Amino acid sequence: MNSIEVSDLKVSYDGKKYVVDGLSFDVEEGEIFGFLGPNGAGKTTTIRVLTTLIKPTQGIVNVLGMDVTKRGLEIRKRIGVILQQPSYEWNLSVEKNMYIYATLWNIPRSQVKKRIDELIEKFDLAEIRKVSAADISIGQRRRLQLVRELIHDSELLFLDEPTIGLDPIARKNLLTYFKSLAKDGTTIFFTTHNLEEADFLCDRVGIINHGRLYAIDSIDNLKATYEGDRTIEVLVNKAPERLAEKLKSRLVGAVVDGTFNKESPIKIVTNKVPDAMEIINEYIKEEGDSLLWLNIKKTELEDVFFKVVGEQQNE
Amino acid sequence: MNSTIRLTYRIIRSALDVNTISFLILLPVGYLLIMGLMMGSIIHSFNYGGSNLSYVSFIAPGIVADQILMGGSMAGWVLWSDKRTGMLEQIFSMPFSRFQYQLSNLIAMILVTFGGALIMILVAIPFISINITAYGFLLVFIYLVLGTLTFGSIMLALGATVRSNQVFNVISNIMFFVVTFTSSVFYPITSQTPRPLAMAAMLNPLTYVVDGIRGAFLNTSGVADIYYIAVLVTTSAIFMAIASYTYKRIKLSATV
Repeated sequence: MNSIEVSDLKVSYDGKKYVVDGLSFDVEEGEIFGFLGPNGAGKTTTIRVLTTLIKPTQGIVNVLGMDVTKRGLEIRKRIGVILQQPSYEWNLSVEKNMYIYATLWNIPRSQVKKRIDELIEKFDLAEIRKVSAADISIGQRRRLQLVRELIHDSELLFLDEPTIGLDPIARKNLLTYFKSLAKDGTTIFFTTHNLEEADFLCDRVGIINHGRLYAIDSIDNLKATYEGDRTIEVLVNKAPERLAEKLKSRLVGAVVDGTFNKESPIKIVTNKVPDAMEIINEYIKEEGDSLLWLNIKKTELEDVFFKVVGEQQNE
Repeated sequence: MNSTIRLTYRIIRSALDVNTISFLILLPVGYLLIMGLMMGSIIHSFNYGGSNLSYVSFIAPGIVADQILMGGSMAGWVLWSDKRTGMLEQIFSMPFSRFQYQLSNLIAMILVTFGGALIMILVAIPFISINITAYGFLLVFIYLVLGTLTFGSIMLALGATVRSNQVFNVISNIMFFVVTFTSSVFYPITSQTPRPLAMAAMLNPLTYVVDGIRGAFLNTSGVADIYYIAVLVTTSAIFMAIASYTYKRIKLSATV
């Protein structure tokens, strides 16, 4: 079953230009879906439509099986939203911020204290529990904003760049927590500029630019689809210059670079990795040389992102 | 718990810190005691509505009525502040309607107005002659509600429209000054009052709230109250409609 169904979504703020221009995609129940794109691509606007904050100009959008234009209140009862913009009660302590939020979500009184204590401990907020939100650091405020949203259960969680301002430990802690939520069945819709995070967290990603979706698939499939030139680094003992010559002469279109001494590796940039490996093997057998080090850089999500977004910029 | 009650609770908890409460109480108490007693030393008593009245007794109902400006400014400030701190967008992404938020804000400010008015009455009692009946209390209640709805709605419209802290503060301070001093809070509007100012007082809803509450305090309420209440029902309806209009078009942050 799909938690989110979007068909030909268009949004215009001024009636002239579409900031979201014909998006169509689905997100399955229990999936972590990464929504990636450069600044101004239309990610936040899409989240605003999905969370019923704004109405679509055109298209059909269903969240948890309900039309966002007709059943906004019912949808909002079942989702959690962490918006990109910071928000908190300035004059209240971290703990009271959480109490207010628990009250707004109508969490039974008997459960509130237990939940707050658990979250405060899990996300390392004990030291600033009684400190006013106005007096804590930006990263701590962001953590408060995130933890506050976890005080209530939600079937579908929207996270709009949730890790901005967080230190690496808090970020790892949080991403791991999101993974555990997804394991328990929560669907997560996630936007980020940090592609390592998306790689770590998401089952599938969509890449949006200028309001249009240009790629959508599992991360492995995207990497396979957009795999291009890869960098091989190789270090041999006897005659690196001879290996470099072989590679240059036989590997058409490859860039072979390096100082060709025994200390620094030869760098080969090619889209024919198996051919390069065969040449290296041949060299080792013929010269009786030994392989000191070999590294084939994998295609990362970042490479896919640059390729997809770069292609669109060039168009 | 009902959604509107939860939102009202949140508005009161987040808006009423020690500084705000001190401001809400100390400013009117200051007006009442400092201005009332100082001016009272030169205006010993004067004829108002056929009876001799001390100046403190005269301005006490005005200061009570002035609480509606306090409550109203709080409503506008809460909306403005929620917009500025991102809480408005966050609340709109929760299971609350925009109407519920607006209603909660109005309820919260009515509660603040009543709290302030009650404190003012208790502070004023030792210094004033008061002759209020149960019917008079009912009238005070009605005037405070209608006045709060009128001025609260004006401030909500301001909070929904402005985009900077400075503009909000400047406009609300100017409004506070003009509305207070062109009403009958500190002086009666008589045939001696300069004509433009008398006209301004007539167009100022606070004048009707003050005169109505003053009549209730002095037990001189009568037919005029029907007129005052009709004016205030009209102004509160007009300004609530304006507030709703601006509120529906409220711009959340402009991130794409």
